[in-house]
Order: sequence, then structure tokens, then C-alpha cells
Amino acid sequence: MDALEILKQVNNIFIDILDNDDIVLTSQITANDIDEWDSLTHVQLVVAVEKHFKIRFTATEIREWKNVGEMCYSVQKKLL
Amino acid sequence: MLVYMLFDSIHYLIFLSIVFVLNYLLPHKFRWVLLLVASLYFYLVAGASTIFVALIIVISTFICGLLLDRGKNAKTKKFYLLIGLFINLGLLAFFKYINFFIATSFDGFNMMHHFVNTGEVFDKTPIVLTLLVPLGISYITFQAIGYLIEINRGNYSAERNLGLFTTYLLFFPKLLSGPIERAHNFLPQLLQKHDFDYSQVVQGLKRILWGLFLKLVVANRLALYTSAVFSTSEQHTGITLLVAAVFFMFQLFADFGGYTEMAIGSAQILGFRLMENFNNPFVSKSTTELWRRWHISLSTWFSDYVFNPIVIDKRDWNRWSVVYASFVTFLLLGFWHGANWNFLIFGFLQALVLSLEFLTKKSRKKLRNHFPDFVNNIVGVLYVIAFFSFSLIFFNINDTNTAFSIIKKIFTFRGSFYFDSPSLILYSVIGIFTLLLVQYKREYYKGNFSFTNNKSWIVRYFIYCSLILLILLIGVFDGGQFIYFKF
Repeated sequence: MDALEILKQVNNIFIDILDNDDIVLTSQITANDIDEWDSLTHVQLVVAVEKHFKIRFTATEIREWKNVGEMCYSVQKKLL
Repeated sequence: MLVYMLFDSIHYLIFLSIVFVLNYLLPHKFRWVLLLVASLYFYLVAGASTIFVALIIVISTFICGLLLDRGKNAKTKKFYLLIGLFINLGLLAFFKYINFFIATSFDGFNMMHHFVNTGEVFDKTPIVLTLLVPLGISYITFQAIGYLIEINRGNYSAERNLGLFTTYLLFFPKLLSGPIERAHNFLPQLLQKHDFDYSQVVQGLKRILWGLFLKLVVANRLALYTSAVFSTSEQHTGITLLVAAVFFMFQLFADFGGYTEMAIGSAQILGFRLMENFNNPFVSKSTTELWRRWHISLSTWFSDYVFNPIVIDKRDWNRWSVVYASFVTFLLLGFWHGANWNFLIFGFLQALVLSLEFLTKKSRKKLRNHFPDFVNNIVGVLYVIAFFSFSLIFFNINDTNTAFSIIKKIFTFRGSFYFDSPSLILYSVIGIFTLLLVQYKREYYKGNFSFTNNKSWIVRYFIYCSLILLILLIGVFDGGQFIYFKF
């Protein structure tokens, strides 16, 4: 699965979990750019991404993400 | 008895002035030495014996940091991390919480003995250790722990200069009550060249002036009323206790916020940038939002090192991982403030409300859609003020029974309001209004007009002179130490 397709699917997950149809993710987007994305909803997003792609992140991977792009890159690595 | 160099004392202002002048006279490479000597002097004013404990924390954390950094594998690194955590938390637990644990254990033995031997009462009072709590230990240990965790995570390399590291942990503007500064924000600043920057020095002085105003005019004035009411709470009516509870919330902010302004301003005039501890908390429309704006250095510390790791570790519990993490975090946060059941109750209440807000987020959003924004905002702000004032009763009152009886009386509302003196109430209300005006202007006003940064020197100097006059005329100068010094 290529990066663009992963980003598209992650975007749909964000829309569903954060209940906001206007979300359009780019690789540079961080939690500061989306109102509903905070430390409380972050874990719901992580769990939803893990369930959707049937993968499991380590705590270190989750902690080290700086933006959506790095999250998607972690997804891509897990799917290889 | 410890004698602090209080930020609002002449002693401190003279000390700061001397450090300020020497800081810019000395060659850059010696400045951190000056700050280290100044910080050690600042600490010694409180009593030489407590500095011994602080230096144990500094040296042991420094050594653990180096060993951690050089650890060849994850197991070795974790070993040195645990040693460092054990020393820091062990010293904190011993000096701050030993009497709480002894008393709680004795209460447990008392109950057990009563059940085993019916009719006999185990009436020995627990041993109380008379310990001098080392100055700033809560803040020093938390900075040390955060430092070690970041090295273990690979985000930071250990500092190799013990002098620089000591200056970071004991830097006098933040020593007594924070902010709980992160090593990777502060240590690089010690090596940067800080040329005299007039605008930064002026901004720092403005913050010190505003901090003095908050402490002397607002906090100490409100304290006259709240201490009079709460020290004789059994004699006061519900409405009086309610007003005193709300006053205490603003008093706490003005006291701690005033200290923080002075701490950040003191650092700023020396060329250093400390993290902000408050972000207009009284504009918050939910408790979740409040804790992003209140005591930010502490809440972000707990978020990074307690809340987030727990949430990630328990994420298979879905939303309940957030609830669980909230309770663990806020019980610890409450306990951090002091060895008292009341602080645990305070923490418990924060966790309860935060969890309820989290679990009902979507349904509340649907409900809010039925009302105009200004209605939602007003209701939100009033709700936060009501809840936070209520929970701070446990923060303020040491005795649990007294706290509960105050709460019970608030809901009866019988009897007349205790006025004390009209001027006290008037100045208190004006102080609260000023505080709120400044916060709402900072948060919502998008125009160009500024009070203290106005282009016209007449406006600026009018504000400075007004603040100084208000401090001199209606400031309360015998208001005692800052509230957060005791943590």
C-alpha cells in the first residue's frame, strides 16, 4: 500500500473518530492543527488506526510521532 | 524556622539587582558560574542543612544521567534510570510524605486492633518525625526525574558539566515554586551568549511589576477575607462560605500566578526564557481546558510522564484507558501537593469531572448546537468557576471533616453574608475584575491597543505608575509566603 492510500485511509479514521467531516490531513499536520485532536482523543485515533490496518505500534513509536506523516510512515513500515 | 527570600521582599529585589548588574558585566563564559553562586546563596538563605539534600539530588541525578547515557543496552539503561528514580522519589517520599504514611499506617493498626480485641482501643498516637522539608524539593525532583526519563527515551544526551547541571536544577528564579523546567529547554540557554537586550529587560521588569500587583494587591487582599472566614468556618453562613470559596480560587491564581510572573520576569531580565505556567485559565469553558491553562509546567509533566504512557499501555481498554489514566494522574497530582487526604480528594474530583467530560463529549457537543455560542461560553465559564472553587475547598482546608462541613453549609444558604469591611470587599472585587479583564483581553482582543506595550510612553508610564501606586496604597505587605512555596 502506498503512502497516499495510507494517508487517505487514516484521514477517514480521523473523520470518524473526531466526528468532523472537514478534516483534510496532510503529512505535516499535527495535533495543534485540529481542535478535536488532543491527548485524550489521541489514544482513540491510535487504536482505530491499529485495528483498521491490523497492526500494533510500540509505545516508543507512538511517542516519537511528530506529525501525521510520521504516523503514516510507521503504518507503512508495519505493512511491509 | 525557614526564612525564605520572598520574591516580594526588599532583600530579594536588592539581590536580583546585584545579580542583574554582575550578569552583564561578567564575560559570557563566567555568567553561569555567577548564576550558580547566586542560586546557592539563594538556597542557603533558607537554611544550610536543606541544601545538603538538594545537592544529593543534583549529584546523584547527574551521575545517573551519565551512566544512563553510556548504557550499552536497554536493560542497563533501565537499571540506572530506576536508581535515579529511586533516589529522587525516595528522598521526596521521605521528607514530604513519611508522616502521612506513618499516621495512615497507625490508623490502620488502630482499626485492626479494635476488631481483633473488641472493646480495646489502640490509643497510641503515631510517631511524628520532625523534618525540615528541603526547599523546592518537589520541583527539583520532578525536573530531575524528567531529565532522566528523556535521556532514557533517547531524546536528550546527559549533561557533562556538573556546574551547569546544578545551575539548571537550582536556578533561583524557579527554585521555590517552579515552573518545572525541562532540561532541553534550559540547559542550552546557559551556554548561549545573552547580550544586554533592553526590550527583554523591560518586558521582564513589567512581568515582575505585574506579579507584585497580583500578589500584594489581589492575592493578599483576598486572603484577608478567606482566612478570616475559613479559620472560623463553623460561625459563618453558607453564602459567606460560598463567596470565600470563590475568592480563594482567585486568590490562589493571583498568588501563584503572581509568583510565576516574578519568576519568569526575573529570569527574563537575566536573558533566560522559562516556560509559561498559566494561559488565561479563567477563560476556560471546561475542566479539560482549564488543566491545559493552569499550572502548565506541572500538568504537562504529568501528561508526558504519567498520563500518556498509561493511556498508551492500556489502549486496548479504549475510552476506559483515558478514565483510568486520568484517575492515576490526578490522584498523584493531588498527592504531589501535600501529604494529606484532602489533596487526594482534590485530585479525585479533577479526575472524576475530566472523565465525565471525556465520556460525554459528543452528547455535550450535540446539546451545545441548540444554543448560541455566547450562551455556551458563559455557561461553560460559570461551570468551571463553580466546580474549581468547590474542589479547591479541599485544597485549602487541611482537615477533611471541616472541608465536608463547609460544603454542607454552602448548600443551606441560611443567614446573612459576612461583610467584614466594605473596603475589603470592594478592593477584592476590583482585584478580581482587573485580573479577569486582563485575561479576557489577552485571549480575545485582536486589536492593536496595549496597556504596557503601548506605543505612547504616556499610556505605558501611566499604567506603570498606577500599578506602583496601587501596590503602595492598597497592597497588603504582611500577607506571608507564597502559597505554592509549601509544596
